Amino acid sequence: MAEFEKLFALANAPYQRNDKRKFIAVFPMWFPYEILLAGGCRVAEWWGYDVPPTLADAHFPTYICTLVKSNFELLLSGRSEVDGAAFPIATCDSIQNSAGLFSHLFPGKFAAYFRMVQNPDSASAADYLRAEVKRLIAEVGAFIGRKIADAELRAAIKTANAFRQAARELLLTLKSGRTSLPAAQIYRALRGALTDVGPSTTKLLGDLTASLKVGPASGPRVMLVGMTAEPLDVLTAIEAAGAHIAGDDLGLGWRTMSVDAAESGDPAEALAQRLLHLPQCSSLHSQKQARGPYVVSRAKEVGANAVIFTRLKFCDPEAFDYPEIKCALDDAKIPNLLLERDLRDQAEGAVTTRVEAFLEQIG
Amino acid sequence: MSIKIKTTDKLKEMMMVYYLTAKNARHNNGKIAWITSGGPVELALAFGVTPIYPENHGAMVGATKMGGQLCAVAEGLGYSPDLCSYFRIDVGQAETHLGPIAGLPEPDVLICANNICKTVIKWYEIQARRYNVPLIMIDHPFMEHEIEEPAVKYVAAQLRDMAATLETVTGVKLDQDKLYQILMLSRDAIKLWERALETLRSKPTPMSSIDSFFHMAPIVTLRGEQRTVDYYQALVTELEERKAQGIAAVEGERHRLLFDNIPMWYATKFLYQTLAKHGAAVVTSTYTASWSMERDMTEGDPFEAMAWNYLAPYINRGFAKRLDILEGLIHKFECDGFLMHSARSCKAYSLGQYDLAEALTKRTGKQGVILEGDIADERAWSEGQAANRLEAYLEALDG
Repeated sequence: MAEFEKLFALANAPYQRNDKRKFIAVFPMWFPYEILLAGGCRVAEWWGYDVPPTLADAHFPTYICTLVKSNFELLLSGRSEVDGAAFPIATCDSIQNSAGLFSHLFPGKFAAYFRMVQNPDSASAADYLRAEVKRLIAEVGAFIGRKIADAELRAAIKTANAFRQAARELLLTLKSGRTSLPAAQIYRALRGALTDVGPSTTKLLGDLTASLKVGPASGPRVMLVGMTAEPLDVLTAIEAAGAHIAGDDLGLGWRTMSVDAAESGDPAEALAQRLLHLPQCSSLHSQKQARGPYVVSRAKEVGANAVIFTRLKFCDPEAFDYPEIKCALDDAKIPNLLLERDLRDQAEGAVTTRVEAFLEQIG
Repeated sequence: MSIKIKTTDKLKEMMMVYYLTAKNARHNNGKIAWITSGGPVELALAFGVTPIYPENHGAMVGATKMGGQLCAVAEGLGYSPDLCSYFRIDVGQAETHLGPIAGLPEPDVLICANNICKTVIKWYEIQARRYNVPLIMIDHPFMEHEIEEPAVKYVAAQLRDMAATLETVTGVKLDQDKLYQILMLSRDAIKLWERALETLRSKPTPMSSIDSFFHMAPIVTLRGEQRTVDYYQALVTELEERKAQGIAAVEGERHRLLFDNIPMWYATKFLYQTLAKHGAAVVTSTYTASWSMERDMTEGDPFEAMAWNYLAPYINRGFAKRLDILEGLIHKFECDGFLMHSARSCKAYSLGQYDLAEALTKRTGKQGVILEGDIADERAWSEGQAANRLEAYLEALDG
C-alpha cells in the first residue's frame, strides 16, 4: 500500500483515535483550528459521512442536512472517541444550534464555538473578531489546563499554512490535466487529511501529489460548486462521461484551503485578519461582492467551460446563492447543472444519466 | 363560544392604516425601509422612514393561505422549496405583486438584524441586489449563554454606523431628542405588551396565545409610535376587565399549554378549535415573549441599551438558555403541557426541539407534543396528521 493510502484509511474511519492527543471534531467551516493545534489537540474537520442516521434521527427533524446529522451519528453511536467538538456557528442555523445541543448530549465533553463576524464590512468587525479569537484561545487554554503561548500559536499557524499549501498543490494538479488518480480519490484523500490536520497528513498530501502523473485532459472541463462534492460517485460519473474535473469552489476543496494566515506578528491578529480576507463563500457575508461574479471568475481561473453544483439537500447557504450564481453563469455562457443530493444518496444511476446528458449537450 | 376580544377590531384597522400609509409613502416623498422583525426600528423611525416588515407580510400571506402560491413563484426562479417560506413569499410578492395587499411597496433601504436567524442575511442581500438599494447589516453574535460585553460593543458600533448610513439615505440628521422620544414610546409599548401577556397567567386565561400571535403585530411593526402605546393600553384594559369578569378565552379551560416556535399561520383556527374541544388553552409562547425589554433604552447610552436588548431574544440564545426560558414559562403560566411546532422553514427555531422537549419534561414533569409543519407554506402541512397527533396528546392530558 502506498503511504498516501493512509489518507483513504483516515477518510473511512474519521472517528478513530490514534494517539494520546485530545481529539476534537470540528464542524465546517472557517473554525480557526490553529488554536486547537496550538493546544496540542488533534483537529478532525468532519464533513459528514455515509452512515445511516439511526440515532441522530431521534434528535434532528427530517429537514436537517445529512452533514450535520451524520456527524452527530458518529458522536452518538459511540464509535467516535472524541474529547470534544468545535462549532463555527456562523456557518448556518443548523451548525449554530448544534453547539448547544452537543453540550446537552455530551455534558462531559469540551464544546468550543466560534462566532465569525457576519458584517465584515463594518469598521467594528475587526475589533470584535480579535476579541472572539482571544476568547477562544483562553477557552482552549482552560480545556488543556494551561495558557497557550504566542509561540505555540505561531507554530500552529505555520502547520496549518503548510497543510493548506499541500492541499492547494494537490488540487492544482486537477487544473493541470488528467491525473493518474481519479478526482474522486483526490477529494477523498483531502477529506481523510482533514481528519488529522498536521505535519503527518501534510506529508501524505505532498507524497500523493508527487506520485500523481498528469496527462493531457480532453472533453469538457468541469468546475464543482457547493459545500462538498460528496457522494463522490458524481465525480466518477463526470470522468466516465469523458469530461475533466478542472477545479472547484467547494468548502471541502479549494475554498477553505485558499487563504493562509501571517506567520509573524501577533498571532491573534493574524488569525483575525485571515478570517477577514477569506474568499467568497455562501456562509460568509459581504456587501462588496456578490458570489455569482466570483464563481464565474473562479471558473475562468481553472479554465472550466461547465459548472456542476453539488448541493447537499437542506443546505440553506448554498441554496440561497444558487439562482444568482446560475444567472451569472448563464450570462457568461457557462453551461451548468444542479445536483441536489444527500450523503446517503443511493441514486447513482439517475445522477449518472443526468451528468451524461448534460455533458453530451455541451459536447 | 368564547367572547371575542373587542380590541381585535382596532388591530385590523390599525394594520390596514399602517399598510395603506406605507403604500403611499413614496407619493408623500417618504423613504421606505424594509426591516427584519428583530431590527432596531427605533433608530430607523428617528430618521422618519416608514418601516416595512416582510416577515409580518409573510405571516399575513400565510394566514390567508396564499403562501403556497407565492412560494411557488420563488421556486420557479430556482429557490429551493426547503428555504424559509417567508423569504420565498417575499421573492414571490416582489415578482408578481400578488398577495392580500397586492405586494409590498419597494424599499429605499434594507435593514437586517441576524438576531433571529441567518436566513435573513441571505434574504436581504438578495433583495438589496434586486432593488439596488443600500443594505444596513447589523450582525448580532449568537449568545450561547449570557450576553457578552464585546458583543454589546460590536452591535452598538454597528448601530452608530447605521445612523450614519440613514443620514445619507434620508438626508436627515439624527435628532437625539427625537430618538429619545421614540425609545420612550417603544419602552412603553413593550411594557404594555408584557402586561397584556401577564394577564394570561389568570385562570381561566382571558386571551389565548393564539390570539396574541395576531395582537403582537403592532409590537413587531409599530413599536416606537404613540398609536401602538394607545393600542396596547386598550388591550391591557380589556384583558384586565375580562380577567375581573372571569371571561375565558377557552370555555371550560382545563389544560394550559405553552407554544414554542412561530405558528403555522394558515392553521391557527384549526389549532384553536382542536385545543378548545378539549378545554385546552395556549397561555404562553416563546414567540410572543420575544419582544421584551430587559434594559431600559431611555437610560444611559441608547445604542448600548438597544444592542443589549436586540442580542437578547430567545432565538438568539443557545440550547441551555432556551431550556431555562421554557422552564420559566411553564412554571410562571402554570402550564400542564407544551406544544412545539417543528417548522421546516425555521431551522434556527426548530433544531434542538426534540431534546428541548425531552429535557423540559424531565425538569417539569409536563408532557409535550411536536407537530411538523411550516410557518407560511401551507403545502408543507398535513392537517389530518396534525389532528391525529394533537388529539392523541389531548386525550392523554384529559386522562
